Amino acid sequence: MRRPRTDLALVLWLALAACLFVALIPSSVAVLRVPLCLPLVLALPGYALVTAAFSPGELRTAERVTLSIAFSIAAAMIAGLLLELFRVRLTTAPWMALLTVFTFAAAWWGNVRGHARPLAMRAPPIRPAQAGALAVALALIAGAAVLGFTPLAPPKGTQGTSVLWLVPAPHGRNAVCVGVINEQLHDTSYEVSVSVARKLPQQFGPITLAPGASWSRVIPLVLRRPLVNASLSKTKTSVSYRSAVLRDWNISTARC
Amino acid sequence: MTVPVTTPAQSPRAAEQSSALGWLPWTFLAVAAGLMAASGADALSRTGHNGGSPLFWLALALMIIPAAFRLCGARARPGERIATVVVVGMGLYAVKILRDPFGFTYGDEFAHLHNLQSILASGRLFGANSILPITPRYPGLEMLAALIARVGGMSPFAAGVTTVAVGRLLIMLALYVLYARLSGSERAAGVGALLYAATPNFLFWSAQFAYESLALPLAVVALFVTIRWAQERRPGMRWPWELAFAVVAAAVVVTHHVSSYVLVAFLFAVCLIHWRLHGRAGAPWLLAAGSAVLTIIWLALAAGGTVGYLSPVLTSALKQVIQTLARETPTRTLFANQGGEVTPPAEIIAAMSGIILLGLGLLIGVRLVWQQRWRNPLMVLLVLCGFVYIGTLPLRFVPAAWETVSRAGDFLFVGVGLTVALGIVWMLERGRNRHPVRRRLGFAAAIMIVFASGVIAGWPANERLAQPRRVTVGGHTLDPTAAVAAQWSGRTLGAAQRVFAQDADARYFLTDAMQPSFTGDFAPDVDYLLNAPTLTPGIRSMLHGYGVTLVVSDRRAISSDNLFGFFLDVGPPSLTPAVPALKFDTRGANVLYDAGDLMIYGVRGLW
Repeated sequence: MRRPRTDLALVLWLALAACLFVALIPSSVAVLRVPLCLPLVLALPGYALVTAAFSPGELRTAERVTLSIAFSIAAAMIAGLLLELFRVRLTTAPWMALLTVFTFAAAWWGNVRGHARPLAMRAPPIRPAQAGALAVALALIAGAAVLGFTPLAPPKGTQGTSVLWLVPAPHGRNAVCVGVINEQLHDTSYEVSVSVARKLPQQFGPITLAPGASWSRVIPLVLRRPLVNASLSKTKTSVSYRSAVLRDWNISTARC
Repeated sequence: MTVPVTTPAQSPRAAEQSSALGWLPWTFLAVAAGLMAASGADALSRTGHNGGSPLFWLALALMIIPAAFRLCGARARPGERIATVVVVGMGLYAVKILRDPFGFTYGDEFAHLHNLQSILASGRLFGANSILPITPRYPGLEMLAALIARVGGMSPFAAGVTTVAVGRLLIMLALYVLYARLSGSERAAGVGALLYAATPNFLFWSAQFAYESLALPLAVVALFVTIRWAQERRPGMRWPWELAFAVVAAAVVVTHHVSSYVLVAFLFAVCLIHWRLHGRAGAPWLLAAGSAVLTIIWLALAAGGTVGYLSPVLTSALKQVIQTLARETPTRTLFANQGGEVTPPAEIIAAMSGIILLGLGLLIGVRLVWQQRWRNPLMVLLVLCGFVYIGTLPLRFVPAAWETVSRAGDFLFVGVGLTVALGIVWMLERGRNRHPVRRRLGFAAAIMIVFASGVIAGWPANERLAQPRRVTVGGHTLDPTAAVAAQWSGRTLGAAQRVFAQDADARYFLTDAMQPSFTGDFAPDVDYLLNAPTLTPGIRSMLHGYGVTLVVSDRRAISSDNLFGFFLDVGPPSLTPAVPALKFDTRGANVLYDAGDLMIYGVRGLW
């Protein structure tokens, strides 16, 4: 494989590589897809257009970077609008394909106009102290991110709650679904009582749930669309403190 | 419109002495240390400990003062200056991310997140949005976020954060190159771009996932293109700039209504000033007309409801200004938030000092522009913007005008940044041989005070640090009551529900349940429906009219607060009376979900 010798050739290689990565790397592996594929969205189309439109010495580096990003954003939007106009769904494949075509067209135009620039990669010299400062800075940013993105213990006095829910079973089954969500800040034991058509209630429990955990049951019914009442009590107190009622069955349920 | 270059570049000796990176690694280190401090301040706040506020201010000082000190100096190369500006801009954006690391918590962010989710789910633009119906008609922000989400394999939240980060990167770059071309001074460009961070909304509000956060940076790029178009003197060589302008202006137009109108108005104002100063020829009439045509086409084809959306806001603001002048309505209390919490006295002093310093800088900058650059139309207009910004500050006393003025500040401050920076550079150069380090330190401290003044004016003291949005107990994570209810509703009842709820709850139901949710006191008046003591025929008719199947009744007063309503309750919540909620526990209605203060009623049977 020949090494690209101009900036526009590099743009073409990178655009192709980004398309390939999008096709090959599963979308769940964001760690790889972000650095490998996002340049096609945020930099390459704009850079190709800037290079095509402006002669090499016309822009300062900062101006070239600014316009490249702005044009790339605009290209992403225009491509999206075009897809919408032609009733094509805005999914990855057509959107990427359109951006790649746009990038190739702009790069070709730039080449035709003689605006391609030879590649001259020069890393700025870094003194040891500067390298050390950069390393410490990166470590601090990583530390800030780890601390910032970690859920911490709740403040003193944070209020928890308990949830009781009751819905008709999905798909027209003659049954109800009842459930409990424990949003308390500690393990809690519950008892659930469900009565159908005001008859003797069915009891469930004790149900011990960790914070954030949930419990549910599907209860088959004999009667067609009866009145269903449910109540929730804590095992310690046995006092009902949450209640749910199903009177009208005209409600759609997706799942229990 | 060419501007003479008056500020000297750095001397060759100075350039030789400084390495390619200059102080950049150290500035980067200071910004990183600031981020660590900001993260620590948020952690203290999230866990209910004191001491977060001093740490927060330390974080901002670490980010601003070293950068300002370096940018005020003459030795830094252009590359270092622009990198410094970008590092600070991105660092300040990270402060907002560290405040909300688990999800969006600003009211408008939920509306835009819903639009993004809708594009990702359906692959179509222009979906419906029950909370901000106009937002899907301007899909630029969400299109970019959707593409980033698809290509990068990110969650909608991560894609939204990345999109705004790109916007933040762009505005720092765009301000720098605009100021550099206008002033001819890299030093003024760096100081000006840094000063723009003192816009009251910059740290938090303008960093939210909302259309202006992307449209404003694009609009600044459009201004830069305009100045380059005007500076291009070669015959027949203006077309690349015209093409560039068309591309960028189109992106502004499809992203945000107000930004596109401001751009059009700004360009026509430049034309008129050019006409007045230099005659009609040579003014950017073509660019102004082009942006106007694009805006009108978009308004006619895709966003016809914009006028109806914006006019009540502007009319109400104007009406209240007149009433306030006539002393018919009470003024708004400055330095106090909606809950009545008052800003600490030290912060009030800092805020007032910042405004005074800003005013002084503006006066000195204007004097300089008057002497040297006053015939450049864009420069004249930016200076006027600076004056208008100062002139609009008293309007912050008017309740209905406050928000409009606050948002206008983001645009007007583009002029303030440059004008004050010119003043600062002039003062630095005037006495360059007398205590240069002390002088630079003084100016860096002054810039910090102006920046702090903006932060204090822009966001209430008790809302700057992170609140408990997600906590962990014994290895399990817990989310706020309303978020849990919305997630349950979406999972169990599906998207085919329509919801009436309080402000904060409705936003959670819109994004976490993907259920169209209505809120507020106007078309429909959900507040009346939720607060009425009895179930009237009018309420049944309203439910029927909007096809509502679920009513979320939340007695926690915080649920109607768009700033604080998205977090876990700390301490017993303030409750509204129980009677209005109980009216839905009646014949024909279901009690589907009981979380104590928050209930979900199935109301299809009440129609």
